[in-house]
Amino acid sequence: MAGAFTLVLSMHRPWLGADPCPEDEWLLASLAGCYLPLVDLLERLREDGVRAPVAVAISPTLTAMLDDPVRRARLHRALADREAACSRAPDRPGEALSFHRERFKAARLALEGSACDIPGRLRALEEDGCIDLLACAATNALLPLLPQPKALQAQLRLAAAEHRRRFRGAAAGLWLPECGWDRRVGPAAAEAGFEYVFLEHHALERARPRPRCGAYAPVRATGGVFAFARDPELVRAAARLGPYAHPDYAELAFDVGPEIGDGRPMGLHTRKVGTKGTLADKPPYEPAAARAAAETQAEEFAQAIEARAARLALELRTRPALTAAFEAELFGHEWLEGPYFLERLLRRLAAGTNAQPKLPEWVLAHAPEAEEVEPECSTWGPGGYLDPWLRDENAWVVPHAHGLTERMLELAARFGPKAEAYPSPLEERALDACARLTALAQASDWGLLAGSRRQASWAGESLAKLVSSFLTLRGQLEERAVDADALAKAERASRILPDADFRVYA
Amino acid sequence: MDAEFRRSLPPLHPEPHAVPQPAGLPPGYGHEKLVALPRDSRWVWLYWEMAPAKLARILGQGKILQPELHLALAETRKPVKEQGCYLEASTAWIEALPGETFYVELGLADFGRPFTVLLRSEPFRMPWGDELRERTRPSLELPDELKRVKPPKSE
Repeated sequence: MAGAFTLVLSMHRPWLGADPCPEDEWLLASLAGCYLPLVDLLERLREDGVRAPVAVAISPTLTAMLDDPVRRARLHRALADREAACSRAPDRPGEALSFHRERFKAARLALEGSACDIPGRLRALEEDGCIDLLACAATNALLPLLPQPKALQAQLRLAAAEHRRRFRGAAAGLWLPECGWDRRVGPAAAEAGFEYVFLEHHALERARPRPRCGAYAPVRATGGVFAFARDPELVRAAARLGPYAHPDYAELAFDVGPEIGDGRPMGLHTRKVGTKGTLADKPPYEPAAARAAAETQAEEFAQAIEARAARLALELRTRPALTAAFEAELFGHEWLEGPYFLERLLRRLAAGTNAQPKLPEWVLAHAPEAEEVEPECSTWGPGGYLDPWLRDENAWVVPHAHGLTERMLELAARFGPKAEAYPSPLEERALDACARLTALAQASDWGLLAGSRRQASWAGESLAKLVSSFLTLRGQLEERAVDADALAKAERASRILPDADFRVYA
Repeated sequence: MDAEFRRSLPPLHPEPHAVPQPAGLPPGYGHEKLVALPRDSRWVWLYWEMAPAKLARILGQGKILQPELHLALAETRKPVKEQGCYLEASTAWIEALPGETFYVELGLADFGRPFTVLLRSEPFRMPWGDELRERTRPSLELPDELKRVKPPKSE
């Protein structure tokens, strides 16, 4: 075998709060388009005896939203509405409505049964050795943006505890949101019990000292954790894939939903990208042709990976470890044909010998002794560092996350294990709710969304709700007069990390 | 996401400008502080919080005091850059050098008198960027074109 190929998929959606909002559509589209098809394909590989293991991270934010029975009922209704809209629409030949009806029906049926237990199905896949479940920072916080060491530590301790609770075992691997790394992250990850993480390639290319194999072998990073780096060439190659990489792929800008449904987009893409013309002129979408195109591109991508592994093996005189990490939502939500691509890619690589899919632990066990280096600060955002989160239009988010964190640290100091003020059971609940609200305010999503034109106001309002709930509870805790109604409201707004203990900030 | 490291571009508005924030967010959290966050290998985003009474007192003194940000090397405490700012804006950008550790002071310059420090940031290290990749240590002085206000004071 010339090289090892490690595929890492990170599943995460921004916190949508307790109340219905138009952004619920993200979760629906990801569930129907990505999470269910992805788990289905991993199970098919297992049943077919294909050894193509994948590392998968699922964020506690996402699992909490998928757990919520009220939200699930809403998703169920929305899926049923879409099926009905597809059935009601006049039967226009070649509009692929039956294809969309079937995929929404599959998702609706999954919600009615146990198939929608995505974490449970992932756990079973891990038990069978088909995937490696990575923990994910508690609320997808961008760790380099947390100046307080205790806040960084809390994100990772909460992540480890939630993973143990959810998956009945400790995670060796940690998914760093946005591949965010600075020199404080390694020690905090090691302290929380993690053994390896994934970084952007320039973190190792600019590491001190620069590792001999660059991004193609895990290193022992600051704090003792092992670090894998995304392969820069695969990053570039993958950037040429996606929803507009082939004229047969679905044109995501064309949605027949507003025409046949309740006026809103419904993910009913019935035209294909084509080669020219306006949206109205686009040719009809043909699912079978789109699938064939995705599978052909997967074959080509697999050949490129194998050729690259063979070349690197000669250059480096060792077995290179090629790591490709993506947001899972790329496959199926942002790129309708993504799951077909992924399945063919994994089958093809598993059948070959030059870049067989391997889990990080296998790579660590078979790699030469890891070099000790200090990786450079990095994220996988454009620019390679913090640019997407620190812009004129969205940097205002940061002081609020910091402000809540400082206040939370004060509360933990006042009521924590070394303090004189012992909290009553109601206060204890309020403190735990404050800890969850603080962690949610630290999510990297708010900055990204605040920087986008369409979601900026929703992101601002969502953050303001978290901050307001926190400050209300904090004021009541200061006066030692927690109001049960305010607490219930705050708990409803932060139904995540059920075992969170505020002392994690002490 | 594609994280190809590119040459750092300046922020869109290096000078502070008002960005509307959603209603319901407090103007501050009651902690005086100056926080410096390196955005990339060149630019640092700063924000600060000052007690409203203190801010009002400074602004109402009637003296001609120039609020300034001083960028200094953490190792030697040597100032390398001074830049005017607006106290009320509570945020600013400052340009620094890759690979070095700095801190920033926010204070008041009074003609002929020592700089009065109001707030000081924690030290922060700038990441390396492509343009200085081959250099083991940057010059301790910023290039002339980056000194926008006045040259560093000698020790």
